[in-house]
Amino acid sequence: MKKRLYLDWNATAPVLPTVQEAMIEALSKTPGNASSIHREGQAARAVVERARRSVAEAIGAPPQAVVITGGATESNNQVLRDHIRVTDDPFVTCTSVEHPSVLEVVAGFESRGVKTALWPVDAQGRLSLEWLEEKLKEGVTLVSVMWANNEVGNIFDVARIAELVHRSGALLHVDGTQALGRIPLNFQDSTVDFLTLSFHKMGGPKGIGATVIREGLKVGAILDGGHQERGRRPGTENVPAAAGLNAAARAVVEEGARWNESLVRGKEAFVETLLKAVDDVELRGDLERQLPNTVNAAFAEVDGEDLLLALDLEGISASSGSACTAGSLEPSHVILAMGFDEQQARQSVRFSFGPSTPEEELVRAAEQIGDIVRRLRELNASF
Amino acid sequence: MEKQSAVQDRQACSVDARPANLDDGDAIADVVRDRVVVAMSGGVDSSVTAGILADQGYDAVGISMRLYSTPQESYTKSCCSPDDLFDARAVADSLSIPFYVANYEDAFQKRVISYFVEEYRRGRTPNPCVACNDHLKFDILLKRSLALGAKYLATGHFARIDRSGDAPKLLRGVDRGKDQSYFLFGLPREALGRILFPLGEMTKDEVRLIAREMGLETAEKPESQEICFVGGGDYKEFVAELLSEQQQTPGKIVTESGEVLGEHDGIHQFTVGQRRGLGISYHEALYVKAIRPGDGTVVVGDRDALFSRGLIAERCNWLSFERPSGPVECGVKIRYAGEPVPALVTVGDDATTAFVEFEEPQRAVSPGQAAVFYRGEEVLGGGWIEEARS
Repeated sequence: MKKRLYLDWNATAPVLPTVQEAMIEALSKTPGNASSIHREGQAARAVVERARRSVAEAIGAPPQAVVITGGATESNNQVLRDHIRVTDDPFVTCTSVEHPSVLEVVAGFESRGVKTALWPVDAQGRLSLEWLEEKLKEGVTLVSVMWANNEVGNIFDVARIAELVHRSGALLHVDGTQALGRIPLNFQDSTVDFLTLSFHKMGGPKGIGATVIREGLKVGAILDGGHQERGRRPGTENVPAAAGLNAAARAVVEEGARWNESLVRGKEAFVETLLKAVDDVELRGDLERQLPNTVNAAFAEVDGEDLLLALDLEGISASSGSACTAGSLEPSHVILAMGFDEQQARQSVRFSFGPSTPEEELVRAAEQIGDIVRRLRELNASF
Repeated sequence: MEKQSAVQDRQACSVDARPANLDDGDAIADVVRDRVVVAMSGGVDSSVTAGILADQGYDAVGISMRLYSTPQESYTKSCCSPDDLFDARAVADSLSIPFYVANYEDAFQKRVISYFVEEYRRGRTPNPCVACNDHLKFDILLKRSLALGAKYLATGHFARIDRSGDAPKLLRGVDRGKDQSYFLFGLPREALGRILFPLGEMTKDEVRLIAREMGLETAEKPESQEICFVGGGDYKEFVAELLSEQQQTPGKIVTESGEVLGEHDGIHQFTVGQRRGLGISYHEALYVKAIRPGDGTVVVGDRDALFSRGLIAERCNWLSFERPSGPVECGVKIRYAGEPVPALVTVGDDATTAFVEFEEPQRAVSPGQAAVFYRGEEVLGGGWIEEARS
């Protein structure tokens, strides 16, 4: 078996050892239902509440603001769907590079006659604040924007956007899933109204996340059938996942700053080596404001799918776009939204890593990517 | 007993397809295994192909080509529907080989579906399987396989490649009922050296038996449809749906002597040799003899009128030689079903046009189908039927 290097952390990350330990311990030692009154129930409740406090601490929010959910897709659905349910004359806008769990919900609103607008990006994937101001004047009631983009890694100016949104009296929803654990992320300072979180891109468990809600605002449940999470998320609490969530959030609190530094160094080394290793590479996204763990590269004359498969067989996991039901790759909607055509979009390959990815492995991978790109180009030229 | 023989055959046939470095008796630990990409459709044939190669120690990599989207509400079973891709994935998983789905929808639309519709529009009878082999499997997928560092591309075709001589030769599959060499005449000559057909020495029954022995999920899966992208439906409806009214050529249905028997809404509904669905009544059974795309005339005649003494084939591809050095006496197959019939083949100056004279007149020579030339087991080459000659 070839040694593998995993460079697809924006899809999901390897689980942190502390998360794994916490989950196994909860599975074996916390059998109760967190809503039961007996000792087993109390122990389970304690696990869930510890997780809530740690998540709150990791993002600088009060614990009561945190609703634990089944993940970021659910939290995005919850905030958006609840907004159009309780708002008179809702008008929702989101960026054209959001995750499908926002984009498709908003598209669904539009087909049901709710006013919506898609916030365009430029060729670097950047947003125009003038566009937003214009829309806010037209009466937008909710703006949904990701803190950082999953595919090109762009970091959006959440503080500035919040300022504009609040000045007009609208609400701001932010999906923080890709930013968490990679850049400092503070709920209170940002004045965001609703924040979606999942910890599985930085080593936490999948299938659990949080909706964080600013004090004084309400978000109702989108499912009926239980009082859990103060009626905002019915369903028996997933205690082992909550134990993992707690460990992941503790890691963000304790390691976050160190992680960021290690990612910045790793990315510098990776990009420098890659640009030396091969010609005609186009780095995509906003290189001035980009996640320190994400590189989106297009190699002239090389199809991204060819490259991904060749890399995988050489032991390097990367990604491009998203896979359809059957597992074939679709061109990235993010790259298309940036104005590239399908063929250009198919050239994009995303490399994303984590704080535990060794710098020397990143350097070795960049060299290997260069070798494979050259091989593919030679082969293309020979046909 | 039967089980035993299937296993023996499998070992016997493995000899020519085995990585050379496994035959040397070198220390296994030092062996760099040759990589082979297996085109996996999710059917039993390609599943067994993957199983055999993985078994023989190749570094097998499964790839399914996604060729078209099946609407989700449709439950038609056809090749390359998501269900088939899931089956292929399940087989790859049980063999512990890497598996990928390659999206070739655009190329398939252009090279196969559009071609298919266009041929019917022109009153010809297309052969989409040949087009798919020529442009998808043994072109795009072969290139991708080489890009992935593979030495070979393997498919589950019932055909053989003889590597004993200087240049590899394409041979018919041993199972005469399943022989698919007809669909392979258009492969580039230089590609033969890069292709493996591990099923060529086997019968379909043996393939099923091996699938069961290996415990493959697809062992009992029924045979796929002939035209995968049409699904279980009627291909004429499929074509009619994709043609606008202006693209349809209506016209008259006439006898050879010029008697007008009726009218029709478009020549795309007819194929040479067709008897049913002509929409006319006559005192004897009538067959489509010829279709004239110019004015939309469909010529019908009795059974005898369908026979032709020869044909002209265009866009010929030669596998056994650069070009024939003179007239070639060989067998010619003018449709997938049926055996080659004796004929004399003469080529034009550029060797891409072939004039075929049958020893005995042949029935329903259909423009658009392939004429494939055989000498015994060997596929010499073939071309696309342009016209029948009476």
